[in-house]
Amino acid sequence: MTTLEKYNGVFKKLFSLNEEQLNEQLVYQGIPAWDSIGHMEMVAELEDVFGIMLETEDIIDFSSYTKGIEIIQKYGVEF
Amino acid sequence: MSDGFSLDYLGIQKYIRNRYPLLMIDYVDDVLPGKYAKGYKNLTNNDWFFREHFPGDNIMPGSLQIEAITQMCAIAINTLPSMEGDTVKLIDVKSRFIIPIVPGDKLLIETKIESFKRGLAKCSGKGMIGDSIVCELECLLLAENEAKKYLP
Repeated sequence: MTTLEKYNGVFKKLFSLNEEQLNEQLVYQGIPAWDSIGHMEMVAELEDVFGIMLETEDIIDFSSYTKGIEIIQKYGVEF
Repeated sequence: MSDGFSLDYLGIQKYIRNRYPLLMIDYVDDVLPGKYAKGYKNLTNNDWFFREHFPGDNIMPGSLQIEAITQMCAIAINTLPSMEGDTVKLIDVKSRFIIPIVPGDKLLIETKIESFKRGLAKCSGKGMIGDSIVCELECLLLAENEAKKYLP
C-alpha cells in the first residue's frame, strides 16, 4: 500500500468518503463528518497509521485534505 | 496504597456539570486523575425513573447505566489540572447489560481511562452489584474545551 493510499484510507474510513471526494475542496467543516470530533479522530488515526506524533500547531493548521499531506511530509513521511 | 482521593456529592459537582435528576453518581471512593475513577450510586424506590420504568417491574434504564458509568469516566478526566467543569460529551459507546438493577441495589462503578489525548478519551467501565458485573461498556468521550485548543 502506498503512502497516499494509507492517507486516503483514513479519510475514507472515518468520513465515509470515496476516492473522487478526496481533493483540494475537502476542508475542515466542509462536510458534516469532519467536525471537531472528526478532526480529533482523524489526527489520532493518522498518528497511528504513520507512527508519528503531530505538534499542536500542525493539528491546528490541518485545515484541509491537501494541507494535511504537506504537514505529514514534515514528519519524514514521503508521498 | 492508592494515590487517588475521594469526592462526596458536593465535591463531584465541582468537577462535572451534571445535576439532579441527571447526576447519576453519589460518591467517588477513589479517583486518580487521567487514570481511573471508582465509586457508587445507591438505587432507591424514590429514584425518579423507577416509577415509570416499568410499573410493577422497576429496573434502572440501560441508558442511565451508561450515563452513570460515563459520568464516573468524566470524573477521572475533569480532575486533571485545568479540566475542572469542562463539558464532557459522549461520542460513541458499546455497552452490554447483564443483570437488571433494581431498587435497593448499590451500583458500584469502576472506570478506566485507556487513553486521553487532546480532549478525546477512550474509556472502559463496569457496573457491579456485590461481586457480580451487571453492565459494562467501552466509550469515547470528548472534553469540549480541551479539544477546542486543537481545532483549525
